[in-house]
Amino acid sequence: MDFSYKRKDHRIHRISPIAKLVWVLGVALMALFVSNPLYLGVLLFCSFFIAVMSKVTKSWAAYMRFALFLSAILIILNIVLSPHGETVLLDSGIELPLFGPLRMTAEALIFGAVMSLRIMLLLSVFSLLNFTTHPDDLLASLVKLKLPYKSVFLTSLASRFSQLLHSDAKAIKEAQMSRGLELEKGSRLKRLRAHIPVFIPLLSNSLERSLTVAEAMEARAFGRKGRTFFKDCPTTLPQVVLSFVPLLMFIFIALSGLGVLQFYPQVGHISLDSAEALTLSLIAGGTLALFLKPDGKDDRC
Amino acid sequence: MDKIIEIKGLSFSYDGYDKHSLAGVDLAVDKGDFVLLSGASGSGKTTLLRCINGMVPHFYGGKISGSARVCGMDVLSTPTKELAAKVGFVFQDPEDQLVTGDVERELAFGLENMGVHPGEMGQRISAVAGQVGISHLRNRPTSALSGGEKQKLAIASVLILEPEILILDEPFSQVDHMDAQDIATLLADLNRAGMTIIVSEHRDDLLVRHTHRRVFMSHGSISSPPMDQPPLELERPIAGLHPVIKVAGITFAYGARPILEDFDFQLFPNEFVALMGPNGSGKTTLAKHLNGLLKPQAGSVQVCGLDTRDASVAELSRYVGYMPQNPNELLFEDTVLEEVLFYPHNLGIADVDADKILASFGLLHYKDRYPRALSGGERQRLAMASIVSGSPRVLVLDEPTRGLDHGRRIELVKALDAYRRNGSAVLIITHDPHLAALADRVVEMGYDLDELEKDEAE
Repeated sequence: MDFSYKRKDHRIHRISPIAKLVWVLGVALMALFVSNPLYLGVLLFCSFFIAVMSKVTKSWAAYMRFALFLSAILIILNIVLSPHGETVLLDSGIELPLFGPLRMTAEALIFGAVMSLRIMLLLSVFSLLNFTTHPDDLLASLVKLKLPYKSVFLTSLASRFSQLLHSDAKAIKEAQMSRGLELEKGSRLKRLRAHIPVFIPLLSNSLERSLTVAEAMEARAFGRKGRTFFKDCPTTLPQVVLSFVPLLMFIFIALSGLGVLQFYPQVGHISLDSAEALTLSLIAGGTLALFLKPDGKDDRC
Repeated sequence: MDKIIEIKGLSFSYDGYDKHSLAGVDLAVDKGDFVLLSGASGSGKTTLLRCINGMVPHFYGGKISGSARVCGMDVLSTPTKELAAKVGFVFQDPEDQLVTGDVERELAFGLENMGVHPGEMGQRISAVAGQVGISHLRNRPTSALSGGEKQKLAIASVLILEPEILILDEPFSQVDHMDAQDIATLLADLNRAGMTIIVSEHRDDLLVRHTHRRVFMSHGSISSPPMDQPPLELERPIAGLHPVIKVAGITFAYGARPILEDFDFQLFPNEFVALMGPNGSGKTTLAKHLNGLLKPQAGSVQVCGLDTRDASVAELSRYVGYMPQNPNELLFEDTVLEEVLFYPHNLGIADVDADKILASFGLLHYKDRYPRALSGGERQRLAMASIVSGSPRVLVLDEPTRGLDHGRRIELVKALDAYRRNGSAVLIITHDPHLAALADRVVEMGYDLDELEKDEAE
């Protein structure tokens, strides 16, 4: 599965990474607090809409399929391990040691389903951040927030070279297999020991490479004082203001208790009256605001 | 006239080594010179180059004596990051130089380090990309580039700092013939525009016509040019009748497009065959089919009568010895001797005259040394020795002469010529047309005859 940044020349990809980070934080907090499936559903739909707008729908969908798989596991776990709830659907009569009676209740089923919705929402917004933000831009933003440059740069170097490590490992495996090294047969311990001729060159090559890379960086004047940045993702005031909206909505929701649902012993009442509909629309609007803002002349990344 | 580089009586030994890597070097270079530095591996070429931008002594430590002035600055007291404004250094392996994930950011990296104003950067990036011929790659991630494109990117990312001197340490090492030609032409253009260039390269045929000066090194000091060796004459044995390797109608694709399509190939006993072609033409893909690392998606590969789909790589390694491009992928033992014995031990072969094999590759005196203490060219020879020791019927070698100087190249060819008798066979993949010319026959890959005919008709 590919979790990497999808290169697209689109205004959403050009929104300041800091703004997106703050936005994600706000939506994530809302996701964790709110338990009414209507609210969660609206937020999830918003993230889907954003995915379509930023043209990363396919990658997002692939990620969501993985999330659905997790959800299925979560629902099953809840059904099996949670005996609470009034509406019993199936009772096996067995008593499990820690968990109590093994019985399936409708409440547990619903609870599991809603929690899955929450997980999907969380995965959705974080994946959006991932797919629409270049990791180097994100790191550059962190440097602007006064994190030390060398440490931040080390992280981006590490991510670049971890890919190389993977291809190196494959090449070394092939080279050693061609010398008669048997990697597939034998007991687990034997196979582990057989991998020593793969680990050692991998380690040595990485160490040697790190020396050469350091040399190359020195030779390109790395470490001089007064470093500048080419891709400066400016964080404009409109972006900052809009990025804080989800966070503010979260605070409001937390204080007012909106969107919280009871599940046990009986599921609480969900209504979609006009007041609720208005609230949901406002939430949708506030969540999408940052991404609906048209490109300003200062937005470049 | 003031020399741009003035080195007098320079001696240097690396930390922990008594032996001098440089022993009293005197070198003066004029502004605008194009110098080609040659010499056997271990002769001190790379160390000398490292002195010009100060990595020796500042990055490597060690003991240094003598004097070195570059662009009027004293190397011994000026750190590399200051010298970087005047001296650009391009390394052998582009993978070791590229630190960002994108072409554009890579070009910007040096400018950012130097504190150039961001507004100026865009224009300088466009200019350099155009100069080196990589403008069309500007928005790509570096992982999507070929070896030659990566090396061009590495050169561009050094050029963007507008140095007065450009140093290149074996720049053609990871690059095919066409890309090497492009780079040689680029260097010639830069030199004509006034840049001082110093290149150390074994594949010197492309550079000789552009250089003003050839400097030879031997045992740490400047020496006189080696004597011309007579051209190699090989006595070719008669090839056997039944192929040791039979590739019949194989098709293989990594992704959507097949690299090999309905491909046929045969290798006969006593043959010495060269496989050539541009990057991406399927040479390594074919080589990996010969010992079972890759299984064909259609067609079959028979090795000494065995179908590769019915055997594991370890089993096939009894018949086919495969040497990858990068010797560092093999080296893991504590001593050179153990490294050479690894292959025969895996095959259960007991009586191996390791000393004889090491001696034939000029490595006997390194018998108890740690393999990674050897230089690049020496590691290449060790990798070879480690494959030859298994006495497989077929040797498949990917770029065996990489990093070897002329003398060692000839020795290698002689060794391969001796190996391929008595029913054995040798297949080499090479970019070097001179090496290919010594083979019995050359197989060219990557040219679609139908496409060529279509182009001619248009």
